[in-house]
Amino acid sequence: MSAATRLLSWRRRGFVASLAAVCLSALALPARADVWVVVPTSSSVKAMSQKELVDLYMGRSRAFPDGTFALPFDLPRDDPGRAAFYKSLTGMDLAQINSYWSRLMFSGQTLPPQPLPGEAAMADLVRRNPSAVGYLLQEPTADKGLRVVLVLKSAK
Amino acid sequence: MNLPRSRLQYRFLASALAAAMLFALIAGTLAYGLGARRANAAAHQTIAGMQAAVEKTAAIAVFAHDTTLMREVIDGVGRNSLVKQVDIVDAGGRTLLQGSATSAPVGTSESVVRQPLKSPFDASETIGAMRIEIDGEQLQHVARREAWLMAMLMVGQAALIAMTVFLTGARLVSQPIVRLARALAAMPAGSTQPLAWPRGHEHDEIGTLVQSANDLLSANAQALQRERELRQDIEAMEAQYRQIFDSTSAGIFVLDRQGRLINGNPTVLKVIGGGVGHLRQLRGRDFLELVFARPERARAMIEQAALRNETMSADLELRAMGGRTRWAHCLLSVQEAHRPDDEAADSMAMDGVVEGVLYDITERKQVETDVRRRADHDALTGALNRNGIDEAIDRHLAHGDATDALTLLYLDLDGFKQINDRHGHHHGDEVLQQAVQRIQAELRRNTDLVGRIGGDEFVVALAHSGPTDVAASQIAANIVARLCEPFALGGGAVAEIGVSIGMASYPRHGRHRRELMHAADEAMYWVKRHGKNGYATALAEA
Repeated sequence: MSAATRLLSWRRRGFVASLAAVCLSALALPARADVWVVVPTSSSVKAMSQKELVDLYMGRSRAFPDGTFALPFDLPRDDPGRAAFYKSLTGMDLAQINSYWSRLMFSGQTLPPQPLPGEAAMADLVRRNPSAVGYLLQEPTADKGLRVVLVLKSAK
Repeated sequence: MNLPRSRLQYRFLASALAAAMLFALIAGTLAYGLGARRANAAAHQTIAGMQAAVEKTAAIAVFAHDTTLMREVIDGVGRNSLVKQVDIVDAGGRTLLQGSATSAPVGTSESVVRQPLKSPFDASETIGAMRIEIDGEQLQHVARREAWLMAMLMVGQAALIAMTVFLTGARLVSQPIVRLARALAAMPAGSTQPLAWPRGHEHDEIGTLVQSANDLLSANAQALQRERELRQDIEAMEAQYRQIFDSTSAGIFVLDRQGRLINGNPTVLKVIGGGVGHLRQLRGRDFLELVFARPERARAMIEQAALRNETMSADLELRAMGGRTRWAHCLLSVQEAHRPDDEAADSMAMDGVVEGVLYDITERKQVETDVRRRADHDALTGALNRNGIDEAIDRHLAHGDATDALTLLYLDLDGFKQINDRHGHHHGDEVLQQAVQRIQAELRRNTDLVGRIGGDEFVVALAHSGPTDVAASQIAANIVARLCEPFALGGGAVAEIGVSIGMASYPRHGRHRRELMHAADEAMYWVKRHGKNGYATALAEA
């Protein structure tokens, strides 16, 4: 699965990419899915740009644009949802993201977002922590405690 | 390796070294510049490569504001000796971290390499830059070292090539040539010993050289041999000619036109007689004057010879050297001068030379004189004979003029026949000889002559004496007196004779010998008839 996504990133977009997309769509993989970035409804943050989200998740910034402290959460290291999220957010696959973090973690000064066991735990933690920010692979239509501040369209 | 032991090799080595040094100088200079440029370029390339290698990490460090990671990057880059200082600045130009403790003066634009850092997630966003300042001193040091290395390599290569060329050249060309030259120089002149072949050069130019030299040597030897044989022939021939020249009975001499001796053979000395020790003493002196009694005759002959262009010959009397008169038959010819355009003509030959031959004819002359003497003189008494006195009188009469008188005395011995009969012919001859001596003793001059014209008849001719000349009568009287004295003969015998003399004078008693003789004879008979032992003058011609 990760091999398939890597293939996508390697190939040039266009004919090969669309062909791969057709093939993969049959498997209904989450990698194709959109990603919903959520904060608790108690948060002052109403909306976020993709760049602001990159700064938060890639360790550049520890605060929302309005200055309030931000606590981003992540999915487990090998979770398919995590791959889809970073792919949509930065255009990079997990290997690149892991490489990026491995350099920063070597210095020990900057730490990656804290991973949570799964999407349920993510939703639960974000709902309860006003500074938190997380992401989900399904639109949280029924959940009143969460606010979607950005929808990342899956990369095509 | 052989050290150069000869001029050729020395020059060869010097040329090779000089060329190599020149080449090394040029190549070294070029290599130095090239090395410096290459080192510079390599340094910049190294820096750029280093920068490219750390760019990503640096960008991440800047993106995440991770100073530790920045420090890692800066330390890593700074470890390179060419790097003087490393800075990382943010997008606003503020220095985030500086990589060197030393005070950092702002470097020149050439020595600072600035690499912009892009956001890892957005290539369009520049989030900072990395500045690397190159250590100029270090760079120069490295560049110089590189340049020196290259230059030294070129010089070393050039030297190696020069040495190789020299050794090869020396081994292949100059050594054989030098050896050849020494062998040739050491060779004695005229040697026919061929040169040794240098090994390994039989089929190249050096072999050809040796072959040519040997050919030349053998040709030379043959030519020398031929020349030697020719010279021997010529020497033998010359010796023969010299022998002939030296030993011939003819005296051969060469004079210049003034008569000075140029050369002559030893026989010349023999012919001209003693007094001159060596021919060399005569050289350059007037030969004609020294040798001939009458040099003007010889000179006249030379003039004639030159005029007629033929050889003149004559019997010439030589200057008396030892008292005895000597004669030589002399041949003289003149070799005319060479033409003036003849370059070889020397000053001596300019006037021409006189070639002469002398034969000693003294003996022959002597014989001739003796013969003539025998023809003219009486063998017994030494007085002239009839023929001799006749000729003498005729000569005088032919040459003398009318005033030059001549008186003839006609003598007839009295009593001579009795002496012959009594004492024998031998004593008669003695009387005759003594009588002539007594007559001659009474004569005055050598022009007065005594002749025996018969057994006991004599004629005395007194030149320059006329009939009135008292001297003539006195002579006649003296002769009579002397002959009347006794004659002492061999064996103690004593003989006495008398004499009758008739006188006649030219021109009174005749113009010719016969008339004079006849007149004198008549006068003598008159004396005989009138008592003998007296003298009388003929009567004057009627």
